[in-house]
Order: sequence, then structure tokens, then C-alpha cells
Amino acid sequence: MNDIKNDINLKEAVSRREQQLPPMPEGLNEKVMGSLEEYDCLKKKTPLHRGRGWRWVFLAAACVAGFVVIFLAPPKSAEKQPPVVIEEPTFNFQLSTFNFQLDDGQTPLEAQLAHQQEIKKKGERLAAYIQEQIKPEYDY
Amino acid sequence: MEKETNTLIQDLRHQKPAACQKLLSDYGPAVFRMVQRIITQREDAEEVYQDVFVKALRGIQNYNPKQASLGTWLSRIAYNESLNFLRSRKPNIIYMDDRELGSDSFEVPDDAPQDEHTIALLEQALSLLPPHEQAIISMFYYEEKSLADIAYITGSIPSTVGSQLSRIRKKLYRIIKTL
Repeated sequence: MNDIKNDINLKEAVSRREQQLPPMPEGLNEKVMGSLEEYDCLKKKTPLHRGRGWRWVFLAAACVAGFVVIFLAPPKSAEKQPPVVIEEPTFNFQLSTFNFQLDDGQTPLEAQLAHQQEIKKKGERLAAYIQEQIKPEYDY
Repeated sequence: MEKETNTLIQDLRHQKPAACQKLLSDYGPAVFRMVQRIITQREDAEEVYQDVFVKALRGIQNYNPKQASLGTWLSRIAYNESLNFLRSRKPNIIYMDDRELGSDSFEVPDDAPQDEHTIALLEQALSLLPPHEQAIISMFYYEEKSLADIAYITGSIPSTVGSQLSRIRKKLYRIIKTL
């Protein structure tokens, strides 16, 4: 092994070759730090109130508050509470009646048919009026 | 020094960013050198360098300081990551094969005096070695690492590394005969 180690020519050749290697680029370590954070290899800096210790403190405080509210707070008596008034909806129905005036010699059936015809005509006039009103004002 | 390294390891295990910065500044240049010995393309070397530290930080929990120093452990990751990277790429460089160089009974001159011509030829011959052999030679002659450390890095045993070094040296002298 000594003869291998004492090879000064080879040692020098290796040394010269190593010195020809370009130096590490500047900013490479900053780039690596960025990717290490990206790969979750590093602990992320969290605000104090979001730290693990504080998280447990908040959790404990919430539990205590919940316990106090549920078990220790005095129950409100029903007497002090104002009576609840439930208003029931009322419905008023008005019944309308149709009175047909019978012309001379008209039977009630004929009068009813004439009335329906009149209603139909009124409806058609109303439909025509609406149609007129919603007619677009512009032409293509 | 040892205490400082132990603190650094503990801090790295706790994922402290400051510890990582110290790791990069203290060990980065050596790791980059190791990667560059095997990967000559600058962009590829930077990519592998980054991967080395990602792997190192993910594996720091399993690192055993009794097996190897932190630097040697990082060199092992760098060596393996670099070779894995090369294997993943289609090889486009043909290196000098032992079989092309004739018999293994070639005699290497022992205790030869320093000779500029031989040094220049050896420099050329080094570039014809496969990357893993170049890395082994550099670790032994330039970094003066022990056979045990080189064995740890390459995943071998010290006696095998000794034989490898002897063989690579003979190969280099055979190559310079052909130049």
C-alpha cells in the first residue's frame, strides 16, 4: 500500500486535476435552502400564537370554558322568561257569488253560457292589449 | 469540535433552518466537489447537489455517528446519488476498459521521481477513467481518506478498496503507454 501512496506523480496529477474543477457557484446554497423548505425538510417558522405550545393552551382554555358553561353556570328559570306568544295565522275567505241577470226568455243555463262568452271576449281583448304592450319597439 | 458536530446533528434532527445553513456552508464545498468528480455537466451537478441535501435531511434520523463522520456520510450520499444520476441517463461517453489495455501483469514504477511529462500524461489518463474510479482515486490521493472511509462511501470493504486502487493505478500507467 505504501508504494501506492508514495506515487508522487499520480498524487500531483490528481491534485492538478482537482484544482481545475470549477468552484461551487454562488447562491447555490440559497437555492438549496429554498428547495429544502419546499420539500418540508425544514421546520417552517410559525407565529408564536400558532406554535404547538400555544395551541395546547388555547385548547385547554376552550375545554375549561366549555365545562363552566355546561356544568357550573346557573340554569335560567322558566318563570323569568317572557311567555312565548305564538301567533297563528288567520285566514279570511270571502266567498263570492255570481248573480246572473236573466234576460227575457233566458234560462239560467243560457245566461251562464252568455256570461262565459262575455268573460272569454274580455280575456281575448286583455290578451291582445298585453300583446300590444309587450311588442318590441325596435325592428331587426 | 466533536461537541459542535453533535449539536449540529441534533439541530438538523429538529429541522432547524440555521443548522441546515451551517451544514451547507461547512460541508457543501466538499459535497459539490464529490458530485463534480462524477458529473461534469454543471447544471446536472447542481441538481444532484440539491438532491444530496434533501436526502441527507430526510435520512438524518438514521445517521449513526459511530459508523462514519458527518462529512463521510454526506460523501457517501453524494457518491451514490451521482452514480445513480449517471445510470439514469443514457451513457454517451466511452471510458477506457481494462480489457482493452492488455494483461494485468504490467509493472508500475515504484518510487519514481517527480516527472512533469509523466504528471501531464497521468492527468490525461485520469480523464479516461470511469467516474467511480476517478472518485476513488481522488478520495485517496487528494482528500487522503482512509481505506475504511472510502469503503464506507463506496459501499465496499477496505481490502477491496485497496485492491481497486492498485488496479486503477496500474490501469493509469497502462493508459499513458497508449497516449
